[in-house]
Amino acid sequence: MARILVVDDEPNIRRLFRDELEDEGHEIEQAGDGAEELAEQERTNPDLVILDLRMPEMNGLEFLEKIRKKRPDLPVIVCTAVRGIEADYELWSSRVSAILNKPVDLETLKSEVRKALEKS
Amino acid sequence: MIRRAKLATVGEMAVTIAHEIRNPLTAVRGFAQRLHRKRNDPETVHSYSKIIIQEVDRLNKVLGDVLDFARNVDATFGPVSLNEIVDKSIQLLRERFGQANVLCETDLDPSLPVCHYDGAQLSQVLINLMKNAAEAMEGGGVLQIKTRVTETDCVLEVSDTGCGIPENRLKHIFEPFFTTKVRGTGLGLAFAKRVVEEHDGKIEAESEIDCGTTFRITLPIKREAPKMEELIDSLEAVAPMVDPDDPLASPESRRRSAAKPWQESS
Repeated sequence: MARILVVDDEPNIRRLFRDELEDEGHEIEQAGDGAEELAEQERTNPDLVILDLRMPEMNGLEFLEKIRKKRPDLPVIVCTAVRGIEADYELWSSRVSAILNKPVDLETLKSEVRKALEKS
Repeated sequence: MIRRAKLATVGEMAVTIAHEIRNPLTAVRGFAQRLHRKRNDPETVHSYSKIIIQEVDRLNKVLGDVLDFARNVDATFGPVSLNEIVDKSIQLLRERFGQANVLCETDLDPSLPVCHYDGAQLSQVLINLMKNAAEAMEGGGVLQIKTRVTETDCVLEVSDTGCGIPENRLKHIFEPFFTTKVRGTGLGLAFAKRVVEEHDGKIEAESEIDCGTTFRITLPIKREAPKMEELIDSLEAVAPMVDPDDPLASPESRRRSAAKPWQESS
């Protein structure tokens, strides 16, 4: 079992990931954007983060930059509706565990979560 | 340069639309996957079905916004009473206001003249403004709609007691694909601006954080277009006169000229 933080501005997506990953036995924390997430991260100290990129207050890339300073090895799975070559390059440079395209297949999500946790 | 600006807008549009479509699709796909597994738990099935319907409605709204904005609508002008538009638009949203705990107050100037406007489009603009206002007042608040008339203009104001819009965002709110909401295509206000400008009017916004926002639409008074009979009369008044005895002139123009004596220009 791991502590997983889901950061997404979409409440229904947070609920979806929470329900699915709780069924797998994980403990889920949620945050609605990057800024909120940073505060949350301090509190929960998660084992893994599932991160959306496009959020109102702080976007996922900004968040990654900040979180990497504190937790260089924290596994992060990025879940995004829009991909671009530049963002992908930055994400891989920030050593994310996986980049998943929305709409996400839940089996793929769980398998990437398992892989990321095994590696860490 | 213009082409580059246009391409940038197309790029922004593609990103916004992708975001606004793939997020609800994620919820629809995911909850459908889970529904199958939770089929023996009626409460969960009910809750997931509700989310799926919500997200499908949202997808439909996104598509509606894009279509509204993208289609080249020729404005259909006709005699319009802004006060009537306000009343009808409020009726359409009454239920939504009730659910959102929004108290709707009106202060409509009875001396507002009937003007030559596009009623359907202005109604859509007002609905967009009222929906935005309701969304800005999480937990409820007061929505005020006022009309008044000046010497030259009809003025419509929509005010809310919501969260307000930060100054750095306020200047961008009428740009297409700019949104201050978590969910939204950023097309509602861009559409409003376009419609108001088609009426040679202007739309402005004032906002104060945690106090609320006021949108003001100023439309020049345009009296009803003359009726066809009046148009014909006025054309006749300036129609070239002919010599009533001219055998080449049409019988109608000879009759008219006979009625209005031929005058040599001096």
